[in-house]
Amino acid sequence: MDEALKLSPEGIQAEVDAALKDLVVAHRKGRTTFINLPLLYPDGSSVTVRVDAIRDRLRISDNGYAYREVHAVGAERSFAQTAWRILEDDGLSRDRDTIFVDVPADQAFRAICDVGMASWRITDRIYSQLPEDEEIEIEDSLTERLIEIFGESRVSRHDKLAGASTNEWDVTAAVTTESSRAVFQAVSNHPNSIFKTTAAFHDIRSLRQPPRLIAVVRDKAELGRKLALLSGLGRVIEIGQSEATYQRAAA
Amino acid sequence: MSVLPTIVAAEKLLAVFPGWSAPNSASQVVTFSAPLDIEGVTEAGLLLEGTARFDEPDQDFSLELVVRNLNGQRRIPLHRLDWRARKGGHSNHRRKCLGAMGGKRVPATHLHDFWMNWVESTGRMRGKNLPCARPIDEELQSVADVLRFCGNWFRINNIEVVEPPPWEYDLFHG
Repeated sequence: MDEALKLSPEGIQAEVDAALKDLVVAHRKGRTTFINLPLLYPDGSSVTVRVDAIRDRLRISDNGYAYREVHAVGAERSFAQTAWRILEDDGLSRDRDTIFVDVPADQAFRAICDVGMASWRITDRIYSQLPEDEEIEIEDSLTERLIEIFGESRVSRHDKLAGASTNEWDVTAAVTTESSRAVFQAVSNHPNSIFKTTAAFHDIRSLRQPPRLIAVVRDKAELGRKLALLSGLGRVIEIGQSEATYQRAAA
Repeated sequence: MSVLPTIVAAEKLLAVFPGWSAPNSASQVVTFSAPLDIEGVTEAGLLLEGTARFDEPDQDFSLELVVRNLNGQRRIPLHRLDWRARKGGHSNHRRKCLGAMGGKRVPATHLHDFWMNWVESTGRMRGKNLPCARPIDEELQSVADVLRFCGNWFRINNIEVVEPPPWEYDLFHG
């Protein structure tokens, strides 16, 4: 902000013009055109479409870029199903890792927008379903905390636990003491994290001899009304609470 | 996750170069995934991965240092060099990327540097796919230059075993 204020009006205009120049960029290679659009994938790169002339029509594709984005985070198994839901609505197609549509040349504008948006939406939807950064942060801190408090031999990280339905649930950690077994689950404020936890807790507590269930959150006040969803099924503590609180929760 | 800086800083050797894949029939993407050794031990899930496009010679080539299947995460990118990215320059996240590079745009050849994307205080990576990148100080004119740069920066001492992508050169590229 301070740097911008030091610029003259001409300097500011030059910065705006430079940004405008980069918003939409086309590169031609023979009968192929690549177009960088003013939309960003999660990694900060531009959504890019490829335009190929095929006889009297144009093939507009995303050149496999959405697939590469989700592959980068190991989520490529989600690609086909997520893409199918989005592409069907927009009348687009998929060939393996590439989204495309074939159109007459006078539909180029709309097709470029549709393919670019679809490529972005697929990536955005898959990324939004990945474990939240916050949940992973809480998970890591929680695991370290549990080891400090209970000792490494008593803590089983990334445990799997079958509920009454026999479905297996991934839990952050299980702690076994002489008198009890407790499951600690990291929960972020994201709805997916909360609902996943409530489903798991509901199933696990239906066991004949369920372990103690503890949801560990960053801040109870931030959860608001969703706190009641968790506390209806297990105990809730905050990641930063005292060792005594952890011991009481597990007892 | 606190093991990641140690992995990045360690001297590494490619255990084997497995060769490039056949081109994907739709996107023409070719890839390789090569395991890495640290002090004679092939480390579980530690890989150098390369991506290029069969029909785009001398363009759109990436090398990435990656850990797979650590702490429940399927894939954690650590360093990535994007050379002449067809997607153009990269835009740094305004909030996640601290310092002078936050919110800035970098050219089509850039480095997603581990040290820009690692948060020491929490022992975590920023975001999921290296949202922060910086320009490269030197001109990388060829695949050999890219390999040399990545060998130095990623600390892979025998990166020369990596073969160039199996590009198809046509009339436009000689």
